[in-house]
Amino acid sequence: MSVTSVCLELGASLGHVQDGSYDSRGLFKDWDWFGREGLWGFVGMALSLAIIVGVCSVVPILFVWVERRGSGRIHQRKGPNRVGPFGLLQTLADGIKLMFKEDIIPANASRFLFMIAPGLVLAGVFAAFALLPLSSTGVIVDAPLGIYIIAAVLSLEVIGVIMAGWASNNKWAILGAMREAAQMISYEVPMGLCILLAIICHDGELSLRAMSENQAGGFLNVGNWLIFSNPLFAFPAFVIFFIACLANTKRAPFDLPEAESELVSGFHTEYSGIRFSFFFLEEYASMFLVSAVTVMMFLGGWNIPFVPGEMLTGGFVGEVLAIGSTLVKTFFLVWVMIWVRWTLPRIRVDQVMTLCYKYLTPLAFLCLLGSCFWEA
Amino acid sequence: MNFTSTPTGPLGLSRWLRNIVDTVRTTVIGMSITIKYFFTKPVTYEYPEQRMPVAPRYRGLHYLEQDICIACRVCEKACPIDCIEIRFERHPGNVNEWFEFSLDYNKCMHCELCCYPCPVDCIHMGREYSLVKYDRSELIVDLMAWDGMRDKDHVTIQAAIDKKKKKAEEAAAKKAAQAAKAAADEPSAEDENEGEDEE
Repeated sequence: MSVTSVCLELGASLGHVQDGSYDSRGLFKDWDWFGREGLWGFVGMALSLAIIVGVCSVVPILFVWVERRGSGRIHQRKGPNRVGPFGLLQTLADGIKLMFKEDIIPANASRFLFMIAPGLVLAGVFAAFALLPLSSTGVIVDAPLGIYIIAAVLSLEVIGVIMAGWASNNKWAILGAMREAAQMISYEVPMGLCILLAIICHDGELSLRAMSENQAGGFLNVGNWLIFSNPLFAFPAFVIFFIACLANTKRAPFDLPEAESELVSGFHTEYSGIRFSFFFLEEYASMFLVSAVTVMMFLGGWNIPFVPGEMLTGGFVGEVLAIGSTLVKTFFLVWVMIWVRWTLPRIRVDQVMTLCYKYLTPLAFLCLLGSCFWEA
Repeated sequence: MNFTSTPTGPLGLSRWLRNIVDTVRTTVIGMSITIKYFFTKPVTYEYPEQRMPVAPRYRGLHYLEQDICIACRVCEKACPIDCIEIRFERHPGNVNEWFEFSLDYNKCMHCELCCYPCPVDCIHMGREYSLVKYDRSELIVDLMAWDGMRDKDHVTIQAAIDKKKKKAEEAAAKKAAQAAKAAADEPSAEDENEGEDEE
């Protein structure tokens, strides 16, 4: 999953969409801005970029608030409650503060790499947001290879992290970066296997939109959700995928690359100001992203219990309901991530390896095999 | 819950499965504990607005009952680190004009030894514990917070002075009369009496 393969696949799938060989339902399909040359194509591109950037920056603000208030309540504290109603504007205030802080670049740092690393980290998440179908038409690029591209683009972020750690010329930073590399090669295996399982269970579909559509119908419009239609194998796979996602987003108990108590702040020790806030933003944006992917693969996408699936794929009300249900499920998973963070202590590097190689990988293989027979 | 020590030796299938079960079980226990705390009420006191109640015998900043204080200086003497400083002037009419009853909280260790010997029980350890100041010099606190004398005291003092004056005049007049009387009998005693009066 190198950068070149990402670009190739992204280009190929976009070409695929424009051929008409795939029934694409992107947000701008009716207006066909992507198909146009010149100005309108540019406008369409700019508009979709604006949506991604907007979501990418607003969602983390909300999640940081949820994280702080939630952790506060778990500690029997109140959490931030001074700035704005219920402290909602606290994160905004912190963001403004970060923007005006000095952007320090260490004297012996590798200047160019140091400067582009946060951008690269953020770019991976930004790119993946384009492929998220919040409803059947609420997607910017409805790529037929959706989940594959997302998995590839998500590993871009790891390159950024290693780059940041290496370029900082700091022992804590390089230790954090090495940990991230070690962690990445362990969680990617079970994660990939679980994605494979989802692809097999969804009739070989790689598009997240098609996966969500595939989970409509069944008992009370719940029966076809992957974790319910294949409870014996897909449910453990869902749990394994979620654990791998926790490792992917560098959240506790897998926050080894940051590890505040051991490495000052891990790979972003030397970062300050706006560049630090990029890493911060990326963490919460990727939490949202990874949770949304989990929802679309395992938790029925936009399908709501008791509401027939056809109603959610057409009409304005259906669209709004679909986007709402995707967001609610995603927010729930994000909340579980926060909940886990304030419950479990950080595990050691060797324990991450043990967990991923000795437990998650064999279990994921078992689930994969089992669901091959289940679906057959 | 039983915590067994980490088993050593090869990772067999039974131990592998038991590890998985243990991990899931302990994680579920931990998660249920945290979610239970999530739904309990926060114990936070939002400090500047709300204050934690202190113990009944809490030794905070001193509280002085200014009207009762008789300026006996016993507390000043009792203080083991000399942080109390008292300056006053006793006026006629048993009125004390206070210049200072200062307590240096840079030094004070809140030992309460100044409170025990007070004969009129006017100095106490209070409940206030916030000693936040911008400068160390602000930590020297005047417990009297005496901005001049009150009108009532001025009246009392004036009345006392008038009374004293009147008394002295009366005494002088009396003595003068006596002296005049005595002078008639014995002229040498007059000088002595006049000198005493002026004192």
